[in-house]
Amino acid sequence: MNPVKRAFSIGGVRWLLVSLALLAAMFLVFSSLDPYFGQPFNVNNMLRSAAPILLISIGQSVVLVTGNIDLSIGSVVGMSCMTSATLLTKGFHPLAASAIALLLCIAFGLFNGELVARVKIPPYIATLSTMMICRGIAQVANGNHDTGYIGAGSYGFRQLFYHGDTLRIYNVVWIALLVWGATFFLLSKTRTGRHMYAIGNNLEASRLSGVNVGATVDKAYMLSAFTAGLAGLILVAQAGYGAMGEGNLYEVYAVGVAVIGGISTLGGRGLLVGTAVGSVIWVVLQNGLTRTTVIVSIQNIIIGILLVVVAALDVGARIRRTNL
Amino acid sequence: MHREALRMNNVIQRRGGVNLLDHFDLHVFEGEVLGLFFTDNHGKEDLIRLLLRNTPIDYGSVRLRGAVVNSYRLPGESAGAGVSLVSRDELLIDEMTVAENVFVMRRGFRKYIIDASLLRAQFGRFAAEFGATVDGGMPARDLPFVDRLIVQMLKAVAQGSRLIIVKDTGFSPGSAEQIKLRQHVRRFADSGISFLYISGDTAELLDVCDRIAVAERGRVMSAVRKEAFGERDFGKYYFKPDQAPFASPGGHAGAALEFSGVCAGSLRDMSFSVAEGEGVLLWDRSDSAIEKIVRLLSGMEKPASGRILVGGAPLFRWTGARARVSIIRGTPMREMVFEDMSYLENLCFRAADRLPSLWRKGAFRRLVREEYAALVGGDIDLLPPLRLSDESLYSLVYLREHLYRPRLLVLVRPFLNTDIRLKMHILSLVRMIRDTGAALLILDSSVSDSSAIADRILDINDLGGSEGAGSLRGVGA
Amino acid sequence: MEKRRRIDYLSRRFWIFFICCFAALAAAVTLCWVMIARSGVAYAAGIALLCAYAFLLGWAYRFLWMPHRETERMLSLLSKGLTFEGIRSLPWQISPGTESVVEKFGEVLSSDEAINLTKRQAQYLAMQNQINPHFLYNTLEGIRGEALAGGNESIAKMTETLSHFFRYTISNLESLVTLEDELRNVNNYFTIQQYRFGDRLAMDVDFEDEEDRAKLLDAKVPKLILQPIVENAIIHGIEGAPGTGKIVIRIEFTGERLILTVSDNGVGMEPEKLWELNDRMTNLYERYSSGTKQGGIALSNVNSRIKLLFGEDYGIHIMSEIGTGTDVEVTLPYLTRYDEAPHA
Repeated sequence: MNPVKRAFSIGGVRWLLVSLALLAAMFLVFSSLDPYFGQPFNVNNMLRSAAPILLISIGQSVVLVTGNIDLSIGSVVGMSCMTSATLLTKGFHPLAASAIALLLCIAFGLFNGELVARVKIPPYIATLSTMMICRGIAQVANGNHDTGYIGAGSYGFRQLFYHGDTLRIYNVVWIALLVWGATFFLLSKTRTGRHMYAIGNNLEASRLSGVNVGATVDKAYMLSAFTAGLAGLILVAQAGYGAMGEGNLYEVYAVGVAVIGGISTLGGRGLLVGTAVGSVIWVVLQNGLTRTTVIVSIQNIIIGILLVVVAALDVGARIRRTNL
Repeated sequence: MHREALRMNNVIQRRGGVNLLDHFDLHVFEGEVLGLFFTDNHGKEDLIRLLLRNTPIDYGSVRLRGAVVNSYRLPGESAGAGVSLVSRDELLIDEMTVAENVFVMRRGFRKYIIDASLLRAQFGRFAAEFGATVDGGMPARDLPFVDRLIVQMLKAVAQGSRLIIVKDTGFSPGSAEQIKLRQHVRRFADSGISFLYISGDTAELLDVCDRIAVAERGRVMSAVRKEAFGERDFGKYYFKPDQAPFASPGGHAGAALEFSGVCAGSLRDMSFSVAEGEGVLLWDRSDSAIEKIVRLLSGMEKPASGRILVGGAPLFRWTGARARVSIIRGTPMREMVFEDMSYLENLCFRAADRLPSLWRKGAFRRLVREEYAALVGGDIDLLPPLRLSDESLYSLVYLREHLYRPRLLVLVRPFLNTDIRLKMHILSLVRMIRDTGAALLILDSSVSDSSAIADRILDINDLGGSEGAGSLRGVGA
Repeated sequence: MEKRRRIDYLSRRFWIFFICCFAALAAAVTLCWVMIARSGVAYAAGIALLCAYAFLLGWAYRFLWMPHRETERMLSLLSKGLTFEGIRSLPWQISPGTESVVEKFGEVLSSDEAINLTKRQAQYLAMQNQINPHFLYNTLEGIRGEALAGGNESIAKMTETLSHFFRYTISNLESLVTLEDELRNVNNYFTIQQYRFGDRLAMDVDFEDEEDRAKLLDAKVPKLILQPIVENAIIHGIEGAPGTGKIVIRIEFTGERLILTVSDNGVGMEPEKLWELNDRMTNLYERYSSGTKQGGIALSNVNSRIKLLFGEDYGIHIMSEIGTGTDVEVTLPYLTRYDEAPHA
């Protein structure tokens, strides 16, 4: 079988090439408009800001693939941020603080999964409620204040999660790539990953085929919460303290990046590679527009329009294929 | 003079280089019940879609009561209400009453405020015109299956349709349900409503219709009028597999499947068992319990009381995983396949539950490919999006389970909506799976075709189950 | 003709040109806008331009792309031999040049048919001229007289029937006659054949609705449509079959059209042959060819004449089941006066 044809048949490869072309085009345009854009210093910075975006998008992508959505990502980021920062200011060892924060996130991920798969609440309502709960926890964690400086003992923590670099590339980028790699393996090479695609593609057939829908959806949401937790830790390291409002609107960004990356909003399709490219596009767009002094509100409009166009194309392609 | 309700003149419809309808020429008079028998199911779904929704055609014209509604020169117009479909797939809103379903849920209903009792009275009068004795105030979900069909017909007439397409009811000819349906169809026809009665069962057509047209390869090859029914040999369209029924291996003591005292919904204290390697047809004439049993077996529902055992162990283990049971639904078959995965991936999907490394190692998948390439042919290399012919689709679904080696294979109405060639194909596929030692449970409302693959037939009414509302047990079996 | 490269089609060149123009315009506008995206005026101008642009695109789609696609569709139908009216009835044409070509093509098609028809007509004319009809009729009368004198009723009857039959057949082919006349002619033909087949042949004329009988007998139909079909039924259906051959002519009226069905209980035909025959009934090119196949020339001729006179909605549809028989369904518009014919 012709390898090129084979490659193209995988859902999302065509869009991947388009998005890469789009990325290249944007890069060229911004580089020409601003001489400092393409410098290694700026590129490194962009990658560093892309890392948390990539992480949350990975989580959201996996949930989207199962045909669901996770609206609580932003609040989980905030919750992870506040819990770890509070614990750090109280003198906990960074490792313990991080572990506790992450476990809390995963617990809420499980909660989401159960609500959606077993209690059968529609995903946007279930995760909406989790969003409120987690945001509340974020505020309560330090008695409704932002925390103070997280202390000198957290130097290693901050180096790992923000300031430090290995081989000239920031640590966080490596972390994000690691998580991306693991998720990529999960989705393409394991049974759970296949089940996730199957559920998003055809829930009825999956059930009849003996797929454990409950367990698979749980795993998807737990992964999403875990990545959101990681992103929260990065934000704490970046700011040096915990802010209650961290992560606001992150779930929307996550959906945006996933969709730009080619994950289908209807579920069952999409490559994780696309998500990676999507996150870079996102950051390039924001950075580039800021540098060419386009004001923030216009940025949001542009990104919003891009999102609608991509989503419409995706839905249109899907519907034509199912040949109504 | 008798006016025509429908005239299709030389209709050609092509998709993807294939003639779905090839010079299709058909007319139905007002008040006539025209039977339509497809020898090969070619173009059947397309014809129905064409009549309901006026999909674009490449040549010819379609006239409803003299007015051209679709022609190759006009762009496809939006569908009017002239034609309606009555079938087992059509939906009524379960939460609403029968009267509401018939009157409110239709195009052109303008009232904002709904007066329930007024509707009921209106419905009572309306139904009486057609001799239907359905209670207008009953919620639609409580209707027995045959009454659902009749309510669909009432809804069609209320909507202004003068042509009703009846498709694949799946009833056994001669059963009480069949007779009731036939009587109602006659009443409607006598009031001037025309019917296009599509069925794969020639016995049913001979009972109900004024005229039978036979279509093959998308074209009407012949039409027989009632007076001439005796002269035509319809026997050759019966499904008569010549092979002897499958000899169960015997010697296995255990039961592959056991229901004991199961209560769920309308099922009361249902008990039966299927021995290892045996094939059992569970016959549900009134089609009221089949869906419930499927839900129980697939885990979507737990029985209120009683146990379901597979090979002696409970159906669902504590981890939520299911015992080795395969469930294949007859229709719609397309929904059993994952269209965004390749053919090979679909084929391996089930087996990968028992051998997860199938996803990791390409070598294993290649082995699977080699083993099944001879059976499947070129389709095994198909990449998404999957577009399969009927035969290929059935092969995929059945062989997927064959690779899985289930302990019990459950077939839900396997022969519904299939033509003769497909029936033979299904037969050979089922044999292959049974050769691996799997037991077979068939759930069907019509016994004529399924009995060819069963060793034993169980009537669900005898099992103490199925107290369907208004069940017709005891009315001339 | 060797395969043309896609770019050799002028229509493709036009489209590529358009698309390039549009893309260039879009790129230029966006670039300008990004560069000067500071002042409010520039925003407004940019948005206005975008709107105008979208409008232009919409217009092009509706008035260029869709008609083009529709024309292509009709042309492909024409090349398949399915329709000619389709392309003539389009409200637009590609260019004056192509329009005249299409017209000419139509004339050619019609004149081809005219030639074929006239060939046949010529045969009849030849018969008419070489065999002086008066001479023929007189001779037949003479035979009849001799027969009667000799007390031979059957020969007398046979010659009388033959005489009527010839008179009908030879006279003007172009006009419409009443259904009654046509039925009488078929009856005559049948009587003649009965002398050969005797009891082995039976025919029945069946009006679906007896009340309409009088009205329908007055309907105008083309001449010589039933007899060729009945002849066909006898030759191909009944001749080879054992037992009594029965032909039934059913007449149904739907309010706007007449359905005449000639059914026989003969040997029927193979599905492949049936398929081919029906294809020929509708294909523009095949039905105008004189055809090398024996069976079906008569049916083809009747079908062509009906389609030429009345249009694509009418004609012949054949149904058959091997071993059981054949039904030939003739569809005609219901006319009571000649100038009501729906198609020129």
